[in-house]
Amino acid sequence: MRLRICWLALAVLFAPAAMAEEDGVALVKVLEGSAFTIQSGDRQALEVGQPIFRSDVVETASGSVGLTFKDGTRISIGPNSRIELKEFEFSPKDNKLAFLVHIIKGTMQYISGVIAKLSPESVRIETPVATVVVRGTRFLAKVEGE
Amino acid sequence: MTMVFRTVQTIISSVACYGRIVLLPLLFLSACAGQGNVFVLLPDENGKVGSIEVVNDAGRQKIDQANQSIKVAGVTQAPEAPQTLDEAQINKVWSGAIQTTPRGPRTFILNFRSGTDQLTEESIRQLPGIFEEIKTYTVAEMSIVGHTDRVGRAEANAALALKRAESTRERLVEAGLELKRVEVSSHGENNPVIPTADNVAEPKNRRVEVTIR
Repeated sequence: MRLRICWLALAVLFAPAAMAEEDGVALVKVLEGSAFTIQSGDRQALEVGQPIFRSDVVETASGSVGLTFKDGTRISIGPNSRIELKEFEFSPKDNKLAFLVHIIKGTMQYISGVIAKLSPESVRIETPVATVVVRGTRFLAKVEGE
Repeated sequence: MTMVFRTVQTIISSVACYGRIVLLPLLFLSACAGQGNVFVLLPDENGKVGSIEVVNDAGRQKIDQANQSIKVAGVTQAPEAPQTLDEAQINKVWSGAIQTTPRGPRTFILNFRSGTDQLTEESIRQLPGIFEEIKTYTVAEMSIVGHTDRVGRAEANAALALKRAESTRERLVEAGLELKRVEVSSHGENNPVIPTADNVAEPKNRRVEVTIR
């Protein structure tokens, strides 16, 4: 009995951290055909409702995929694309805001969320040829890649 | 007749773009705008047009009009002067990305009686609308953020804002909220709708923002 209470206490103690981890920084909301996520070398087919984590690479072949981040920022990725989510911080209370996406190749749409509203300088979209400084609110990018 | 001409034009320009047979480069320049590295500014769903700046070591270029685009030939070449694209050019390259745009977030603002976590009557009447809105989202998520005005100490307000957010969640759960992903947080007195001096009562700032995404 006592052991069980201990486990319970432990579970409660670690629950918030575990949950935050499980939640990721964005969710897959729209999917046409198939798209994939690469997490530390592991390639996995995406499904609607699946979380995306910081430093994940999202990849498409013939499909497209739409993601909504915790701050309401939306990114949708067209076919034959490869995009890395480099940084995401959304903690307005502690003034911690960051949004950095690297387009390796392909097509992408960006629609700004709360991070861009509170701190436009915290949002950057990198590509191999140039960086996009975003002052709102919706744009498209196409990158040839290697 | 116009139709035939346009089709022929499309075929020729496709050949010019893809086959790199640039016969009349100036004439087909705009038709090739989707090739290479391109950035296009679009109006958002409310018709608002922001601005973007494309920057590399060779230069920078800013656009702030709907459908303006910037090409970048390479990392050592400066971003080119803006060109305006038409819908057909945009759809040809970006239809996949545009078709998978997730539904945009929607925020409801609920107000409170001064110094309490009690919703105003008017805000209570808004609750059913929140439930209706949730149904329109795929894998709906919700954030509940509490705010106060600047009457009282900042620390006390941070706690009150959190209490407001939590009591809103409880109220929604009692009313049948079953969402798996709900975040509750407090911005205290730091994120007002109407900025005021310290210790000024402002009913509009005493609120909880419920955002569905």
